[in-house]
Amino acid sequence: MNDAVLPGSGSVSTPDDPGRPVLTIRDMHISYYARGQEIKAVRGVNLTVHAGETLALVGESGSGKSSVAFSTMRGLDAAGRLKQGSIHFNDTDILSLGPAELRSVQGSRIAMVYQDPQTALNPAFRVGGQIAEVVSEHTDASGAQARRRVLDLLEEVNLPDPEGVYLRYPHELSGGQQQRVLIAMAFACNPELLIMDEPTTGLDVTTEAHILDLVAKLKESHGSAILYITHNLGVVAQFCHRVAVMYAGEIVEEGPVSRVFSKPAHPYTRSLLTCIPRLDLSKHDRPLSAIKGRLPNLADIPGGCVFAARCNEREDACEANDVPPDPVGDDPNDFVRCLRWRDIPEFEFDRHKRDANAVRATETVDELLEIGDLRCYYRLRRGVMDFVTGSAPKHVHAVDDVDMKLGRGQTLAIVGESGCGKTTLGRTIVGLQSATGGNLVFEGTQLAGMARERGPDLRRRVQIIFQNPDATLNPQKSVGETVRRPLELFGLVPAGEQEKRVADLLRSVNLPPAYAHRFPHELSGGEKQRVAVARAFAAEPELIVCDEPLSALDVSVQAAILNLLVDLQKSSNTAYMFISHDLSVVRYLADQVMVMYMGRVCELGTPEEVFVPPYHPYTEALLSAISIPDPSIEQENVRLEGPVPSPINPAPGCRFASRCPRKVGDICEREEPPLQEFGTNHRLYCHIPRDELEKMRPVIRYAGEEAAVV
Amino acid sequence: MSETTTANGSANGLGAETARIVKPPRQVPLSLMIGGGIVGMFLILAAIGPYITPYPFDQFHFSTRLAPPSADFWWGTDRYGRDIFSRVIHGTRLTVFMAGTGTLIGVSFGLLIGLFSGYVGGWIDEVLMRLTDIAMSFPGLLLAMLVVAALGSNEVNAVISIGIVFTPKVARVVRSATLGLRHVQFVEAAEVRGESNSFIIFREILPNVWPPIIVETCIRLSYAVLLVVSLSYLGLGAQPPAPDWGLMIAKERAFLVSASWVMLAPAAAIVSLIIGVNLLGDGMREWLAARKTADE
Repeated sequence: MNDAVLPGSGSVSTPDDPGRPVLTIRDMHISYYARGQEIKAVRGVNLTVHAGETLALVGESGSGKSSVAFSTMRGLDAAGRLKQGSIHFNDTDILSLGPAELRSVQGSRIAMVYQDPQTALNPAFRVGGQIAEVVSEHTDASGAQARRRVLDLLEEVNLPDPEGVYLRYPHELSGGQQQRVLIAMAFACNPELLIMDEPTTGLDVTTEAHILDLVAKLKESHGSAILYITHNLGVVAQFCHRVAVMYAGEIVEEGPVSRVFSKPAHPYTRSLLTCIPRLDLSKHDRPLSAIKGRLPNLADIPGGCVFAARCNEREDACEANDVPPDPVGDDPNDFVRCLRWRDIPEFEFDRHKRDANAVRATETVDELLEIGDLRCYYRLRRGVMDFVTGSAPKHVHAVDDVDMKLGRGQTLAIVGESGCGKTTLGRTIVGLQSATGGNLVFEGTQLAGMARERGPDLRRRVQIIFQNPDATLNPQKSVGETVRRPLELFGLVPAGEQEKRVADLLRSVNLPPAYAHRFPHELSGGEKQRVAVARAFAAEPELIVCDEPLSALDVSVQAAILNLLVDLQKSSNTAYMFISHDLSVVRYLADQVMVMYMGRVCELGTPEEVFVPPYHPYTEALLSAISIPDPSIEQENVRLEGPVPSPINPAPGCRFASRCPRKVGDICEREEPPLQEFGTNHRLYCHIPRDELEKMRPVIRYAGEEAAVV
Repeated sequence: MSETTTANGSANGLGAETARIVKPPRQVPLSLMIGGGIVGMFLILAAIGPYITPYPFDQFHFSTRLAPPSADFWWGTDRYGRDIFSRVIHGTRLTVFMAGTGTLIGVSFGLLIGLFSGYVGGWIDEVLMRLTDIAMSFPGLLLAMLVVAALGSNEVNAVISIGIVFTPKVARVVRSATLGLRHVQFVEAAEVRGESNSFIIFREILPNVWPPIIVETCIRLSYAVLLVVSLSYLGLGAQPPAPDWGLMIAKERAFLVSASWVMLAPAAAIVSLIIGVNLLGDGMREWLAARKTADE
């Protein structure tokens, strides 16, 4: 529990002498052909993965990192072509292999783990058989030997009851378990090289932490080299030896993790590191630094530095000539492609140290929304046998006895892992589903269940912003139509002035008014989300439920949208109910944080209260699982064990008891956790005695200090 | 932050980035062009056919009965000495009009039922879908025959019967497309605003189910041509002396061996129209799919 993890140095020991190269990519060019255009997705990439090392390939969407990984396995799809370059695995030229030779290399000596375990496993076969097939395909093992080997592997990836898992079908396992199965499959033949493409992206933070621990352990014991593709810099800092940063199809910087994270040289790398909200930054301090502009058109690359158009340090020379790799250290694999990196000031993380005990003066605000004892249950469909046996109907307790208040112009963040009921709570408030019981009072008026049962004025005052930018706008409606509709529907603006108001709204979300004539497929993800924000604000609401509005966006775009939300809140005094799983975003944006687990509130307070001790044990675990790309911050290592209990007719007692690392005793399983109050309004539901809670250590600290980072 | 997994995915991402800068012309599939050409030709014939034929469709030439193709009678004559070429051209209007109207009726009602059933859901959906199950448990031709037998044999009732046969099939296709959009965020956003059911169905959902409806309409149209000629062939559609293709085949089938042109000409017209409609449907599907992937 007390092993502090120091990113970049503590957790990952760099191999003393770089081993022989396992994978060598030279001068790789990949193009995609669409609509008669050549899109140069990857240009001149050189990469070397040495034996036993973990190399991270980092970039945002469209950077070409997945293309590099897929072409290494010769898995580019029909529209893509490897135009130029060489790929060597040890001394084998991958590009010259015939189909049979290629198969013998793939899966045994090179293995791959994909992002989405659900599509990587065949749903029609038992998982044990699927791994055994890999074993028998690539070794001489007999059926029984293969089975034995699979059971060992399942044990090695910490799956409980390997014999049971062997016989299960993929849908009978959770996402984290499926990913463990895939990892077992990847390590089945002791591969020399493992390519992992965003293996933890779809998983909850606590599961992600487990999977990363597991891969690190297996890598040690099997001695495999790993090419790790990700967009998450925090994971890289914890888990990898070297990192290559890709932007728009080129590697702009490469080097050891310890150097790149402490002294990033390329302006793009620096921007990536600073646009992630840190736990010591709140919206009251300063806006986040976002990267201006957008990815260049890869069909028509301008000459010179590929990042120049978005770079704050740009000079005329940057756009004139191609930028060669400039070595940063002695190692040829430690370089940056920037003309100006020696001239720009040394990089420093912008620290905001504050006194953890100093409570920000809470302004008194009018109450806007009050929720009392809110319950949302889903009734499960009863089968024929349930009627025969007369068993009682079963309910999924999505939200259970939630109490909270939200003030005008305030932001309440709801955090928790998938299935904790945060989305159900948001949907109930906007009237997409009705509550099973409890009170929902908006400015003294009881809110009816479904939106349609509410009066037009109440509907106007509560709006929602959804998660997925691709589904949030009707593809057949222009941006203008979408934004104009609330004006029309609620009669806010006379018909003649709507055009002008739409333009104003688009301007307020930093989009040019000309965008009114565009259709959603002509917009990027971030732009679509801006339109969704404009649509919500068009109704002049008093409360907006934001259901994970950032989780589908790249970090640089995230920062810009976050800044936008903060600005709009300041100017319109709109309250947000911000649903998120990302604690750093929550820290930045929220005035109040509510931590939920399986439908229940665990902890509620200001971020300054929730992010420092005393913690609810679940909050502690969540904080420990977030990955922070800053080597000067250390984290307590708390991992949750045990299965997530079923939300169907849950047992009495604390819902978190089965996984709680600080469980007090039987009382946790018998009795509802009592409310313990700290300070003015910090609520915590836990059986742990008060003095013990107060003695907890901060999970996230500056290296060598005891104070919590807030 | 959802980084695309597949190389394909990132390619599309880049495609979207470039889409706004240049818009290259979309490639029209060959099948769409050929099918469109054939169907277009038949539509023109349907419109102007009666004005360009060498003879009226019902003019008897008793001196030249069952004459083989010649300069006077391009496709020969039938047993009353009527010019087959003129009759086939005349018949185009009837067949195209009956098939088209029948399809239109079926698609319109099917569209309304499918949209409503799929969006509203619950027991209404359950009842409507069980009703379509019952209707679809009859083979199409049999159901059409039953309807015509009940209403009486004429062109109007044949068209109505086609509409009745097609309604449940179209309703199914539209319903499944609607179900896919039922909980999409832009529909939920409209619900949060408190839009009426009809606004959500016709303004939010309908514009997004056009592609499957267009493809389904083309498929239905080719079946409609078959149904029209089958009903006429069985004497349940157009009545003599109408120059209906199905009717021509039925009446002249005795001369298949001795004067094959009598039957082959209308048969060839049927076959080419159906092939044309099918090519049009296939091409349309391909084109819409390509457009969709390009847009994503």
